[in-house]
Amino acid sequence: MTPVFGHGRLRLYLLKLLDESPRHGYEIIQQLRERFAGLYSPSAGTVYPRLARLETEGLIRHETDGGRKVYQITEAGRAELAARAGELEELETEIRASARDLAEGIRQEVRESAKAVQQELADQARRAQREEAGGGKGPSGGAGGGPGGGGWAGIPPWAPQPPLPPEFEDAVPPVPPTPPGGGAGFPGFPPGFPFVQPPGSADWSREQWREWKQQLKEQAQEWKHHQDEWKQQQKEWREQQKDQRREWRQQQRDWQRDWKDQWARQWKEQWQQQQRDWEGGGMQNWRAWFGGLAGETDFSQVGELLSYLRREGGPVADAFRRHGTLTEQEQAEVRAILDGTLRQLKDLLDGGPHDARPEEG
Amino acid sequence: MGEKWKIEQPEQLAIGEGVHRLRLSAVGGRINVLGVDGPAALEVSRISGPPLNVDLEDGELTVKHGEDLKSGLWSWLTRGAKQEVELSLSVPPDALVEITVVSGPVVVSNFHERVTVKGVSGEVTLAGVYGPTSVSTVSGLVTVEQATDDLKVRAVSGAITVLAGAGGEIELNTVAGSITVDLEDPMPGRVHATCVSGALTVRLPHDPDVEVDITSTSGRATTAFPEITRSRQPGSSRLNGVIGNGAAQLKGHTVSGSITLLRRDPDEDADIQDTQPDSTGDEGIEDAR
Repeated sequence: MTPVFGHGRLRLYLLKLLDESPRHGYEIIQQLRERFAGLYSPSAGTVYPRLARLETEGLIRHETDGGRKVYQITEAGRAELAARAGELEELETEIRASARDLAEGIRQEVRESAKAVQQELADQARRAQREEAGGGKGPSGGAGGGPGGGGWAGIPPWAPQPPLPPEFEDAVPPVPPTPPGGGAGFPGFPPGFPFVQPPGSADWSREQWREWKQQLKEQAQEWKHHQDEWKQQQKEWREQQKDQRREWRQQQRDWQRDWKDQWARQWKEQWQQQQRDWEGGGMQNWRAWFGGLAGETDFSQVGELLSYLRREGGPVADAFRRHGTLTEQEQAEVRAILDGTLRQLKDLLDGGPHDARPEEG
Repeated sequence: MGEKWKIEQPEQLAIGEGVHRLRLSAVGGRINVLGVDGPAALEVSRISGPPLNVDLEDGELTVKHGEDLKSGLWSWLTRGAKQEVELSLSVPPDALVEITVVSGPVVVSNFHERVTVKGVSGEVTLAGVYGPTSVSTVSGLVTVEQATDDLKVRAVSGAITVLAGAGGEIELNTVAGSITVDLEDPMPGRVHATCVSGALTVRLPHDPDVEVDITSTSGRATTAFPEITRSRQPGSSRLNGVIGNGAAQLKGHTVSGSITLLRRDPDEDADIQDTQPDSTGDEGIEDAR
């Protein structure tokens, strides 16, 4: 099936229209509508971006006439058109020949337009957000700056974003105490082992040596004491951190709970509103149907359920086949469930077309 | 003086003049319904399962595939493509159209009177619906381009996109899916859109007359109109205000999606003025070639 407008053929058609005569934008839209017997009438949001693109590519150009842009084809445009004349002919025959191809073309075209417009709106939204965030801010639109917004800009107002871990006051573990003396260390001793430099001369008296040894011993003890202290500090620090983490986790849990509550409440309100709307519109069937399928309250699963069914329908049938013949009772059970579901679906479908039509019966 | 046809294999059928109402129901496949001047015609390009029944009585055309929805669904669920039909139907643009399809894409184009489409799963595409239109589906995208009268779309899981909505009133509901609305001049008198877990994006004409009130529980609010104020507090953000004389009404609500109000470039309001197409074109427009 060849899509009628696929592969840039609408573009080609735009060129053809401009080849016939220069036209302004709205006239082009009208022409398209006429040529396709009203079957495809692209919106301005579809046509203008395409024209702009053709212009960037140098295939058309415009002149301004009384405030309106009048487009005309360029030489490059004519060449393009000539090169693809065959395709254009095909397009025109197809439009006349096959409703199916035409419909498929329309579907693809509308889909493409929708995608393009969505993209464009997303871009516009990003630009608007950037502006709101206050020109100077980076593209990520930092915090603050919104009119009257305080710190909210850039952050959803009801934070779907967990609390940050608290700033740990002692983010760095306590540093081990610097050994006194600050010596570079002696071979055979642990680094940082405190040494008092030996007095260094050979003419030490016995007294001096003894004193030095005594000093050394004291220092070793002191060092040990320091080390113990440091270990104690470290232990305390770890405890403290654990506490803080625990606290933070608790905060997170609280936040999640709040968030869920809030969300559930809104969801419920929204649903009640929607149900009322539907009932107002005579859509009781929907409700009955959901009620039957998913219980009285939790409608959230319906969409999931349906896509699940669609996804799983095949494998389930396969499983049935592999399983072999079902016992009569099993069959009856399966039937009962399916019949129930189908009845509800039938209600939906049969009750359907009539409820939205106040006019004749 | 009714006429009946049974179609069991792909074929083209000339139905004749004077069709003013169409009722079509099918279980699965691909359904195209086009509003074309002249005699009505049916083109069946693929069919499986039971024959397609076509019945014309007093200008009312009924096209039905499968006797019983129940057995059809059963086979659709368990055996896949057992009961599908791919058909394209041309009927006059002023016919009333009612379509019911359980699964499969539906395309409807160029109708000036009431159009009703109901489906369970499957994409619904409407191009050029100038009469009151309503669509309901459970899961499936709904895309509408050019709707100039009342438009009502209800979906459960599926995004709704409306391009070039104008005139009439627009009402859109979906649960899991975003809503995108691109409005043209003349602005619809009332636009009401609600979704639960999707973003809500509305682009208005450049100089609309509209009163806006859009809320979101947890989403971010953005507006391109200085007239519209954004108010934010935990638990709700809101866009509201009056643009121009506020003749039209735009209301919307989403729970967890962002809300965005944009403004069309002046040159794209085609039939009002046609001056400066530019800038917006470069991003995101991919001509498929």
